[in-house]
Amino acid sequence: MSWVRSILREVFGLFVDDAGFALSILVWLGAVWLVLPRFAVAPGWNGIILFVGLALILLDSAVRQARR
Amino acid sequence: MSIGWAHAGPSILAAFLASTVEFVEALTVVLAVGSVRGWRAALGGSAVAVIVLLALVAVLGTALTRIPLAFVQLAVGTLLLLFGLRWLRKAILRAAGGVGVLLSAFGCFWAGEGIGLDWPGADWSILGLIAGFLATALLAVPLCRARAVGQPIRSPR
Repeated sequence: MSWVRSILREVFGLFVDDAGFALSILVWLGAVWLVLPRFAVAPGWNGIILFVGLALILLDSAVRQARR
Repeated sequence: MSIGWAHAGPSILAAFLASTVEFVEALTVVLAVGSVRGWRAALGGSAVAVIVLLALVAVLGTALTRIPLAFVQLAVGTLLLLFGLRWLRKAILRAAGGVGVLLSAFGCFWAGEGIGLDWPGADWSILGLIAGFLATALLAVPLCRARAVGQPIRSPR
């Protein structure tokens, strides 16, 4: 069964290597999905807000990583 | 089969052209995995994926259409986002890029579709997302360089 575990670990590693970074992406996606509809956002802006948040997460994480 | 190839042809061609975006998406993932984990693993994985896909279509047939589209879009989009942004961050730190931009843009688009967002310009917004992630990466590279250069050199312990 160790080969199944190593396959699963390999697959998981493809998507997550920094838990904080992955969690930030998921939290932002969840916020845009569940919280944003409560605010009266004009159609078309939701997608832009999703992108801007993801771009900021990427920028912040890359700069933090570069400092290490 | 009740309809002939002559009648089914235009539908098949339309379906093929409509799936071009997915083709580019899948090709990008294979290129990304191939350059990180090696071509043997990427091509082997692609071959297994094609076999699994054919088996699913053969076994489930039209029952596949009962799977909620939004759920599939959200699941695939989220996985693409996690993979693409992870890849793009690594590319920024190495001052290289390309594939990560495409994966992040596709992931953002599909995840957004899955949660029911309205994209301005519908499918064309993928081009805007590609430009947006590329601009973010181009902005991040000098910022990361400045941070890395500004770091004091640690003495070995």
